[in-house]
Amino acid sequence: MTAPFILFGMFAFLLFIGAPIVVALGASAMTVYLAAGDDFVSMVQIAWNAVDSFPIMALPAFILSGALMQSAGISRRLVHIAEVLAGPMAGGLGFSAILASMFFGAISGSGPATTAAVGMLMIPAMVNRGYSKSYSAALTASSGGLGVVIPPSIPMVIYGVTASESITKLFLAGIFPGILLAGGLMIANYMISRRNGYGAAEAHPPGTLRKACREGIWAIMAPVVILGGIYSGLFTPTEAAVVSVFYTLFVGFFIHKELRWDGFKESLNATTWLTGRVLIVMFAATAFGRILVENDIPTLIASSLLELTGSLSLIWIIVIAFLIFVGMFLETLATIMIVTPVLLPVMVSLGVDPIHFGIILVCCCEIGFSTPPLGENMFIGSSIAKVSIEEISVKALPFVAVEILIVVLLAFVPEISLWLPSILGY
Amino acid sequence: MKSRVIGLLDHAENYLCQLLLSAFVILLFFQVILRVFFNYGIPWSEELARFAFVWFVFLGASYAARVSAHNRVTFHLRKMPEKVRNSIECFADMFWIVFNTLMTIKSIEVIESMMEFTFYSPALDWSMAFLYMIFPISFTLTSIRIIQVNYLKLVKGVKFDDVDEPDLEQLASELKVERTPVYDEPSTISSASKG
Amino acid sequence: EAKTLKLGLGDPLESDQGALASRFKELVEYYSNGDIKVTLYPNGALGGETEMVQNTRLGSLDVASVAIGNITPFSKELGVLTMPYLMKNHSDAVKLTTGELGDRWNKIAQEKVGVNILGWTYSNFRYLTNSKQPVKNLSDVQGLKVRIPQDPIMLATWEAWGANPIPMAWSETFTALQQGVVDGQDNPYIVNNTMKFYEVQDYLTEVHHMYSLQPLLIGNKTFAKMSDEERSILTRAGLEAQQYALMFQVLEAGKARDNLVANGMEVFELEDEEKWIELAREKVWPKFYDSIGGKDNFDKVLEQIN
Ligand code: NA
Ligand code: NA
Repeated sequence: MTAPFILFGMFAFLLFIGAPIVVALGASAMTVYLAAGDDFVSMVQIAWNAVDSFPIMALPAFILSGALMQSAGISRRLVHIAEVLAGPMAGGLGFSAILASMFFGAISGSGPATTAAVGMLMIPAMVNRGYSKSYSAALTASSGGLGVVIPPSIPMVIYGVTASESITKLFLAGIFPGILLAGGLMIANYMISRRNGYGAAEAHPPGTLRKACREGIWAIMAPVVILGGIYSGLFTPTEAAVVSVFYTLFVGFFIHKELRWDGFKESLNATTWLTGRVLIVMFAATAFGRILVENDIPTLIASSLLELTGSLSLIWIIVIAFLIFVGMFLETLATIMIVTPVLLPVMVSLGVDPIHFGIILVCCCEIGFSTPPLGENMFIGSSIAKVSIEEISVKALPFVAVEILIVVLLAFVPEISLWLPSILGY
Repeated sequence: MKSRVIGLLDHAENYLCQLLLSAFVILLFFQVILRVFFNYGIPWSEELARFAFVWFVFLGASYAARVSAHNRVTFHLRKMPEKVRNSIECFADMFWIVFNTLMTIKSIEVIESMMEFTFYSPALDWSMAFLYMIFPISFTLTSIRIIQVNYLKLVKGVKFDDVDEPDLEQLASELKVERTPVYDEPSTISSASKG
Repeated sequence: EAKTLKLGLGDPLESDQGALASRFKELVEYYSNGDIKVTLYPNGALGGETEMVQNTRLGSLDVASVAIGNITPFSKELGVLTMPYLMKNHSDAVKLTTGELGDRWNKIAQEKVGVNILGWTYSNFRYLTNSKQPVKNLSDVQGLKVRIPQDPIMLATWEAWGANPIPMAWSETFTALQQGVVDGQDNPYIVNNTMKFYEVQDYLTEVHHMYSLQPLLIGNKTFAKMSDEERSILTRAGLEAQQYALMFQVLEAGKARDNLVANGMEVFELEDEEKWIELAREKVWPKFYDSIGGKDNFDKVLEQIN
């Protein structure tokens, strides 16, 4: 039973001295082999097989199409529509920011990308209307997380691949939870805005909405092409991501005529290092997980959890608390890759649907985007609004609290996630 | 001219990756077009795309090391003085280099064994031994990048930008946002308007 | 002290592959009086099937049970066993995997793959299912989008019949069938049933083009390290587990078929199977003679089972 101690000890030590996550995972797995005098040749096989997979190819394609949508003027038009649509309502621009994150979430699979696009346009607008900078940043950082709950979603792709579950089904299961989370954020925004006197935006002259929609028609069509293509059976999620790349190139070069060669090259460049660093972790996390499985760790965790309590509700609370704790420190996709092989078998043995568990996992990661010390969305909000992470963290607390409540609700009522896929025959 | 050559070498993985990325995205797109409109599938296209993808990922990991993009848990290190933090990370990077070296050696072993017992890819009928060459290449290149980055940080005092921090200038130009009046502190705006 | 062998399999324990593996474990532990223990890792917990073949060969995994299609990339000569319309029934499958022929495949596996074959899971014929229309004739299959594994022989076979074969990862197959990305696929009764393909497929046709075989492998390196006695225990357990697997197949395939029908699938037989056979022989066999070790070799195999 020494293997798990070496594995976790080495992992914690390497993380602590600031080694990259890939090294903490890979080197600790390798140490287990070396300590037992075993050949670590299977790590080379894992390196190939963990990455040689058609479904994961959705990851670079979604990253690329998201980056291109920025340069192609699709993002800006979508956010503008949300702004015009919701600005004049009570709660005002905060409401618009959340709505914009939902719209943008339907084309982007990434939380930070959603925060960047929405925050860049909405934070200045909110600040101009008298919202505090830290509140504006906290709100966009929190709502930016909707980008990964509302499909398409890169974390769902990673979960689907790690758990061998249908990505299409996960995408469908995320729709209602995404809407629910957005609703929760809207209520919190309304209450806080009323107390602080953040008013509505000026009413737009009549016809503005129609004009915004007309100008943004190709942007509105983007989610229709991506999600419609997947659900109609025209293509798989990976293919949908690829099609959206070409759709964006077409719109960017020929319709909006905003995409430049530089922007295109920069998108390829960002896709390269993002994919490289995420999927090399996929390899290391698979090697790490393999050792856990060989040492029966998931069974061990399941039995000790069950010894502790027989109540599934209590186990859900423990799991959610654990996931939010991990999400404070660890990068989102790495969290999913490490946690899935350990917790999924445990939850399945307790009768939980793997799709349901995946949604809870992704929602907890969504919250992790706006919790310190590592909150990817907060970093972006912080640099756009030029306020410290600490200030944003404080202002993000009510949103985090609301989101945790909703995640607990989602855990206790699996139908919220599973109903839509089931009526559509999945 | 000479600096261009060095620049080219410095971005070798990056250029190759852009090529591979474009290749597999185009290949998959053609596959969709052929299937949806012509009800036809090329038997080897998916496999070729996957192989390009695996090479893309491992070369991309090396490029990510060059731009110092690999995720670390750093909240406790950020509070330390720059020099201390850099030294601790350099110590951590030595484990990385050892890991890469062992992976390189082991993958060469695997390739040798695949030369002895050939393993052909199902659709393209390529020997997998050649495809596995990406491992010694990528793990060695990554080690070179780690040494390069640590040299730049510790000896040359170069500061690496956090790649996850958005490039606001670029973001603003892409989104066509007017920046100056909104982003500066209110005091700057007022002093600017006064002046 | 007991020696522990790790046995990896791609399928769940309830599958036919799992039945063979479980039986093998029982027998090894019984015949060795508990001196050799076998731990089972089902559902690809130790990696995909190709990965397991590699690791068995390299010695980092002891025993693996995989489908024949995942070992042919390492040795094209074993591709003989995947030629269309090679076997007509269970009895042919048994003849092909025992006696002189069985030894022959084992020798090839040792030399070309670096593994020994301890036994075979008999996994029955891969029957065609689809959601479009009943397939009774060659004409019904024209242009039908059939999902196949990455396998050149299967690809050539479905092409020869005028279907539109689409190589696709197993993990994506169910969703692809559901969404209509592909119309159909082929797999044995037990697999069609455990995968619940009846939820997304309406028609099944008994096409006897391929009888699936799944070898149980132990690496040369691991095998060489064992004593003569241990080797004979493993060989005996493998052979007896193989016999058990055949019984399991015969019983369970019938039950699986009944369940498919109970869930609304219609089962058809081919009216013109001789045409399918003819096309396979004329268009497919000649293409692969070279890679599977020559026409003469193949003819001899045919002679031996007929
Ligand atoms: Na999304
Ligand atoms: Na966090």
